Amino acid sequence: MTQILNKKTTVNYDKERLGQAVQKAARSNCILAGDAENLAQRVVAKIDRWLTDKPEVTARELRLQTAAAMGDYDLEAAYLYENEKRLF
Amino acid sequence: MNITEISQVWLPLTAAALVTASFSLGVSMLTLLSGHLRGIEQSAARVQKLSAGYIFGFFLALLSSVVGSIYVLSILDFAHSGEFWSILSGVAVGVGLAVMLFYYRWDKNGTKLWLPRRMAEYLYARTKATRHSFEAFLLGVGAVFAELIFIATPIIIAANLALALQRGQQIAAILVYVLIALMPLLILQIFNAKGRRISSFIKWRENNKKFLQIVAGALLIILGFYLFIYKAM
Repeated sequence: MTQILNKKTTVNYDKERLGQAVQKAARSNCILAGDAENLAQRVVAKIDRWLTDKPEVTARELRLQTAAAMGDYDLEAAYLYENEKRLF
Repeated sequence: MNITEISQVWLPLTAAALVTASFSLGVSMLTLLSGHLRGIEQSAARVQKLSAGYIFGFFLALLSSVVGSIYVLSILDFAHSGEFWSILSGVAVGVGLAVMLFYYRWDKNGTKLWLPRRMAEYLYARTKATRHSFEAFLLGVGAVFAELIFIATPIIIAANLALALQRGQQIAAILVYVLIALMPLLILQIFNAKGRRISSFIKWRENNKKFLQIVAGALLIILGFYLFIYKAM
């Protein structure tokens, strides 16, 4: 199981949680529910493949990688996912 | 309304309102609020309702700040003295420079503001936890007060300018100031109502943040000099 390193804590990688976050970012950007779900599944599959040989990654790395994977399907949603925490 | 009134009251008042409108904590919070609500499957009507609550809170806090400033200034004997205008002009130039240097953080990506990171994290979490209209209303009020360090100067300038007008015109001046300052939020609200992608709005802000920062700072500096020449001398 891959570990996700945050500033203060370390948590196990949770594909469901990642899928929900991707779906939420997509829905925030006016993507229809079905499309958002589909996008989340494809992004999570890509991230799963990327993580196979990695015992630990930082939360930032995971975020950037997820945004890059989202960008293959929807650049606008990827932009929102990547920049939401940089709004203020 | 004569030409002197236009040049010595309405013009600087409009400039002060434009400076207030250019400060973007309120816009950032509304962007996050509406985006997040859509993300958690709230209906479009609910998103509009909570956003409207936020804007109303912002409106009321701004209105109260201007009216409160007018009241305080009306008690002070020196509000229209050259010395007071000199101080206000100096503060406007100082704040203008601070806006130019510090308003946005120097990160290339995103629109991170001057806020201490703890405060920004709190506002981020608070905005995302908002579920009711009343919370959204308080968030709008909070957005005004959180940015008071920058918006206090244009508010006091606008209040002191409005103080010189007759009662009817004073109310008009207050409304003009508040409505211009509220314009970015109203534009974002229309943007949301039309179901446009919020990322394009964020992207536009990110691409133009330096321009907005320089224009706001420069406008405040010019306003400071303008008031010094026409009011203090």
